[in-house]
Amino acid sequence: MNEVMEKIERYQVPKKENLWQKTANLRTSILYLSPAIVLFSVFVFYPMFKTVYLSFFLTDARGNAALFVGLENYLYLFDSTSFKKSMKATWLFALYTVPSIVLISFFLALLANEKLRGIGFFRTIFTSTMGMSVAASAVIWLFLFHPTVGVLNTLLGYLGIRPIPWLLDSKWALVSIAITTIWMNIGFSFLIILGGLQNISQDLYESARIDGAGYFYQLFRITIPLLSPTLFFILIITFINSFQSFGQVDILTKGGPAEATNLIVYAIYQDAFINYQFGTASARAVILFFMVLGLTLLQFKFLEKKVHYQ
Amino acid sequence: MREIVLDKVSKTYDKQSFAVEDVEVSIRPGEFFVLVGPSGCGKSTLLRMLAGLEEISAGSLSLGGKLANHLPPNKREISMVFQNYALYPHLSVEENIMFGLKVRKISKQERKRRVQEAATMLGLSDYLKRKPRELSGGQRQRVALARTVVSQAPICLMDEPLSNLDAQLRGQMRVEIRQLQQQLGMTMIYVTHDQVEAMTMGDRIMVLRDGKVQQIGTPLEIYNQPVNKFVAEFIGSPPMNMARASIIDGRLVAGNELSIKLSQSDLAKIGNRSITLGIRPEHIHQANGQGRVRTTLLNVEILGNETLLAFNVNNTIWKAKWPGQWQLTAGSPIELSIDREQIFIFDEISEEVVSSPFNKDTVLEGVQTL
Repeated sequence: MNEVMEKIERYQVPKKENLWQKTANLRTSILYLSPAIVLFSVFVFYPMFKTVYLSFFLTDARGNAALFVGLENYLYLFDSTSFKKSMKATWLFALYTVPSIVLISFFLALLANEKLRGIGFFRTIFTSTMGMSVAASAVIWLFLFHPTVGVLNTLLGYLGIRPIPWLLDSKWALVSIAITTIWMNIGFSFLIILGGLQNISQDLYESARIDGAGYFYQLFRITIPLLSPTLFFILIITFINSFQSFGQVDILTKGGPAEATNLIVYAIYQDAFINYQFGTASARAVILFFMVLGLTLLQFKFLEKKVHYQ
Repeated sequence: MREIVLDKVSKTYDKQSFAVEDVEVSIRPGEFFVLVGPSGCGKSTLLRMLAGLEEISAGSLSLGGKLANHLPPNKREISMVFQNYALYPHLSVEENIMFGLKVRKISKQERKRRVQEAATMLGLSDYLKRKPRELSGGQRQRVALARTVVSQAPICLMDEPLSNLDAQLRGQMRVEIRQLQQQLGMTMIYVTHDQVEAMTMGDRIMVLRDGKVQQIGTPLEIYNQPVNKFVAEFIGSPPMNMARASIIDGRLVAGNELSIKLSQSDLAKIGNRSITLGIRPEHIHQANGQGRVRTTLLNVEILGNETLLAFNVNNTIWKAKWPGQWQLTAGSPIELSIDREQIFIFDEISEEVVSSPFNKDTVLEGVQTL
């Protein structure tokens, strides 16, 4: 036995507690956690397990499990062209929206971070889409996209460009939805990135100025590395949001034309609440869950190395 | 090596009031120049104007005889140490030290050589691969110093560099910074609110208050011949004791506790102004018959080599510093003597010195030669 333990054992003052006293800490912590545990169980954990459960069944019209089919629902989906189309649309949609949202909000945040007169006004404007509901924004864009009286086509007309069938053409519909989504999500990303920018100590830029570093040198060597945790967070959040887009699809195109905008969440909705196929809808939901999980894990694996946490 | 000349330099932010007003000074090459004052006195603003981080509202700044008001920071050949060191958290110590050299496109070999040299000088060789967050406060401070060393700029600006360190480390870094400055022969402009740093490090000190220069001089000039009440109180620890006083029957009286006989020349200088009496703690002694103070001891601090006594004079707490160890009890009555030759008398309104040991001496010499 070493010297330390010898001394400790000789002079230790033993604590006398019964089981009730020993668990005092545990009981208190469970009490503090209980509101969260209850809420999460009711609104997150139960629906999640129920979804997984239902994905192995055929259901009746009310959504009760009727016949156990094992992995049939999944096999059916992987075989269906409609599902493949939906997956393709979902990935394309993410590709259109995520990089644009991150880049545009980063750019706007850089602008709004400058100390200029009246910058508060622009900060408010750039953030304002955050305060607007999905339904309201979609309706606004529905008017903008209108083929004959819409503002967009009118403007194009002034430039001598032929009107674009924004929501009516299967080639344009996904792009139109993407534009709407970018517009809607910029507010939130902008706000978070601006917060990240303002967290960077001004001293660092002053020190760099004394060394003679120019704007872009500072941007790439100081701002971006120090902002990387924020950008990484925004990237993941935006990806997840883009996979979960629903409202704008429902209002603008209802998944059409020719399923061109049938994003996965909209397909789930159609399966469950229009076709009453709760089994395949649940299977789609489970697939979506694993897609998001996998993608997030991949991002952590490959991008987190480049993130500098302070 | 270049001289720094400031002529009527002023700064205003709101166009209503001055943050810095009419600063005139010339700083010699190789000088350790300290800007000292309480927080908000404009010392950091002045430093930032020198660095080119703030616009100069009026007045001229010249470096080596050339007007530098509108020179960008990197053209001024300066280096700067910030209060929080401004280390890049995502870069290693080595990359931090090299950052400025990379920007200036100095060759890789030269960079390596300078970093090695600076790291050895500051004892950082073992930490070059670490990130700033893995270093202690003192080590971060050294990294910031290393950046100045490698830049080889002839002028170094420091903005309260020691304020984040503990007392012991601060004492050690004071010596190191001073040595570094002398070794490299650079001109140092050093901002601090700590009068101990100002006294111990500076070749010359500029005392600032509310953006205005109060006094410029060597540490001893400022300590021995403060030009006004503010400087007298600000420099010295414990600070100079002050009390409102009046003249009664040719004696200087403060409250019920203090009464000193004044010379005719002092009385003549005072006239009928209202005045404040000032005396440094080391000039209050055991009772010896002259310059009597009768009061009650409030507190006794025995510091080993000296003893600080606190007592009340005209409703202000005074301190006396006696050499040696004195076993006295707080609460007991005590009689003290004030060294009459060492008293300062300030005008109550303008706060300027009316009479001080310095200008008294000349008068006394005059009397003796007669």
